[in-house]
Amino acid sequence: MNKKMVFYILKRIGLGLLTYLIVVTVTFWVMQLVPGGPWTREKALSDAVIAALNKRYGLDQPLFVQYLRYLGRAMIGDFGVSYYYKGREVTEIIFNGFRYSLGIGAAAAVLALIVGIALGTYAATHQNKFFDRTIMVLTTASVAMPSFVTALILLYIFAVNLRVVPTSPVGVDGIGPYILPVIAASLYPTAYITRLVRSSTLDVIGQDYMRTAKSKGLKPERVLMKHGLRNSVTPVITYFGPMFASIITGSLVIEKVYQLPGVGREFIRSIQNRDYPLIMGTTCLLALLLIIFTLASDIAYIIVNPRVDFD
Amino acid sequence: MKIRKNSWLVLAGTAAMALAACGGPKSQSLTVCLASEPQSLDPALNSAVDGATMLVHLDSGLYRYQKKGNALELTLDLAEEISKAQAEVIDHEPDGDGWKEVKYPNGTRYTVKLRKGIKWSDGSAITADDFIYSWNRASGASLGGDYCYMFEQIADGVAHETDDEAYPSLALKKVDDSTFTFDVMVDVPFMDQLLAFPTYFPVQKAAIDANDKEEAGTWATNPSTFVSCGAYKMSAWEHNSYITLVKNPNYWDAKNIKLDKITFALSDDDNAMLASYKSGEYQMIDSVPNEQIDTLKKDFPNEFVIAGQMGTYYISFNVNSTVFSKAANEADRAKVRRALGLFIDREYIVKEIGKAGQIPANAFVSAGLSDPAGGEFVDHNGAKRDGSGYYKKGENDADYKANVDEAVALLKEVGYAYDEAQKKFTDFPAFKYLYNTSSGHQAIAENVRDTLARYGITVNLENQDWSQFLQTRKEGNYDVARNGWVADYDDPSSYLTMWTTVSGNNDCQFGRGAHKDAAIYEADLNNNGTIEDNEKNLTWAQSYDVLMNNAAKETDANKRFQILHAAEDVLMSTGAICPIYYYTDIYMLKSNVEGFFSSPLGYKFFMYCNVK
Repeated sequence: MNKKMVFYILKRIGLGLLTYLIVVTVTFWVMQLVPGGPWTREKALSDAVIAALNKRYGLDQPLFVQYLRYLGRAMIGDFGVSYYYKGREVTEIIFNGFRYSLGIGAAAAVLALIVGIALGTYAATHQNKFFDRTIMVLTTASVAMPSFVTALILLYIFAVNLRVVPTSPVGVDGIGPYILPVIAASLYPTAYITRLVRSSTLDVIGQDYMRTAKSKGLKPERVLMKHGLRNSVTPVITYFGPMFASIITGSLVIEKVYQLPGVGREFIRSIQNRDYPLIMGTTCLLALLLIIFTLASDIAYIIVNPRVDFD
Repeated sequence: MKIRKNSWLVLAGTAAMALAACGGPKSQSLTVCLASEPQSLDPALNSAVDGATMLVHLDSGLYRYQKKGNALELTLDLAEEISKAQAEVIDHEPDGDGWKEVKYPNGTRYTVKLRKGIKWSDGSAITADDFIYSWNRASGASLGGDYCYMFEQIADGVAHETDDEAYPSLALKKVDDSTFTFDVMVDVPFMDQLLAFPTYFPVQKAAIDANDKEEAGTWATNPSTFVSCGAYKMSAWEHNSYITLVKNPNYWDAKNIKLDKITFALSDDDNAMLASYKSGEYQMIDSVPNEQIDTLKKDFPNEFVIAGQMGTYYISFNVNSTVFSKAANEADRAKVRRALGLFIDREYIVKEIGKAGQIPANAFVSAGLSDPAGGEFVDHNGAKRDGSGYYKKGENDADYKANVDEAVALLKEVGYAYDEAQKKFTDFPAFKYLYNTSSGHQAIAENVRDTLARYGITVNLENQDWSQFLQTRKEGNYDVARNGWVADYDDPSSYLTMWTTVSGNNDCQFGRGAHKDAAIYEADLNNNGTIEDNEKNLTWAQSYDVLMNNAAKETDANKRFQILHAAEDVLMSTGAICPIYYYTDIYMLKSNVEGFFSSPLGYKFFMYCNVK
């Protein structure tokens, strides 16, 4: 790695931290503006109880003091206890939900990568044949259709009609309930990757070095695998980081449709309950994920593609 | 716990086990679904009905509910004997910034003798100290429990609730390890219900000291630290998925607990719940999708249950709203509000929107509450005390038309112009109807809008999310809003206390702002039940607040209820409470489950169930 590259990476990390700081700050102040609060109840709490709760959680302090205190804790990932779920730590609640989001996100991402690269490459090498055309139609449909539609269609066919998997994981063990969510979460990225790989492979196939390799007498499969793939998947690497983060963080719809107790559901509930620490915890986690994966993706990109200009 | 998949294997396995046991008693278990993840299972912190259902299985109090024939009765649980005697009771009540001593010569001292040998689930003894510790903990504001006010019946409850260091305890005294006393100013008839209420359940100090160093309620979030004192103990809590209870061998009455294991699946998705019920994964579900009710009633006549519940769905008016501009004074505004309430087509709402057997309401205190005069409180409501309420329920066309005629007359009286040909008002101001975001509330709001539109009255709908909605209503920043109330115990005070001037639940803003000076109310302040000598031209504080204060101090049950009926008269005369229906509790229960019962507070009891 040269000096320029190290400097570039450090700069990106610095920018990432700054982004995190901005997200943390904006969340805090916007949360204060939202009407309602953590102690509103159908049966009102007495003033004494509200005062005691405010004191216990430091909400009786001036807002700026609260902000600084929270900022300090957010930087070390300590968000305290939930106001809603009595006696439970925010990090524990988030981890509990994150297991599901991460598991499904990772499985969906791997699935999307394997299927997407395979289909994209195959379609490119069989350009304008029947298979290629079919793939193009299907991927266009998958990219265009919102995930709540595809998720519901899958649920209706496989869980409700065919009954091959349960409709919800509540009280059910095993991986059965997670198969459909993984497929639903992977549809969009699979389609996107397929199209990405197809067009970049087509681009690569026409390059001079490919023709050279071919004229050396190498088999077409070998030419593609050894010389083509590395170049044709470069755009996928750029896409993979943000995609992975968005599958994990953006699976709200899928969590809702399949009744998954993921972090997305906790995020929505925390806002409904005005559970400040949990709102902060989930927002910061989601922001951090996006920042880290985008960063990792950019770094991977410059490693794979040394021609990147750092200026 | 594989339920759906391989269920025939499980079935075969169960059959094999039953054969192996040669007809010995089969292990009995149930999987039920009430709601999603509970907020807390610390009895002092829980305020939800589903949490209360889990708590009546995990823990126990001095009394418990049991089914006797078709009725519910309270029987002694952890207590062997509870006796009471007249005593001079000293309470400390607010006096400026401090407290003044108030003596109640006709107060009552309760003496509680606990059963011998009662134990926590960890085997240690339950003593009088446990109760004293638990009640003082639950009733102090510093714990932050929603229900700390439930101890205000006990002397020094109010002073202790404010965390004033001078009052570290309620009026509780330990006599010996298994005996303690507590003092109440007025021996209210619902005291035994309070003693069966989850907030009054004991908690183990050792478990709390060991686990709640950082945050109250931590001990109750994990089966390994959850120490219980009831029929069951917690064996698993998979957050957002399920909670499993198994029989507690240390419970004093364990031999009469039929069911060995209860699994509470945690979900609030009606459709998913119903799917799991139909497939046999769940034996009981506590809610169903509204649009399915008609089909379910037809398809599962023996399993779809509509039970009574003590609760009222109503519309509240802000008495300080000036939106009804032609109504110059409070008396006119009362007429306008009453008129708007009369237009509402309750029968349609109940039949076509609610669909769950709700009862059209014509008073604030709901059906289901008992009255010492016999029957229910609602059987004696209304000006004539004959149960006719405060207007016709509109159950047939003639009744509804009578309501509409009265409404039209009232609005004309106030001065609004009525087009007799069109049968519409032409200058009634448009107003905003506020509800919290939910399809059920929206359907009712739309019906109210459409009904009033027929009479030329424009209603604009506005919805807010729950937390914001509660705040808006509480602060009185609204004109008209949907509202609802569910009783905490079977006594009308659970409904009527909320409308005193100082109450935190006084969403109508009675006695506040401009309404403070409106001297238009009449009330039976000498409590003889005769309307002719009602005192007239009283303000809210001089009428309603005084009545509620009198009721709180009255020891004669019949007299007390007369006062409560009189208070409801005053309340309903404002027109600011427009009742729509009394709630029901709908659930589904498999027909092979015997011995189940529920209480009008919505608690479900599974411990005496027998699965055939």
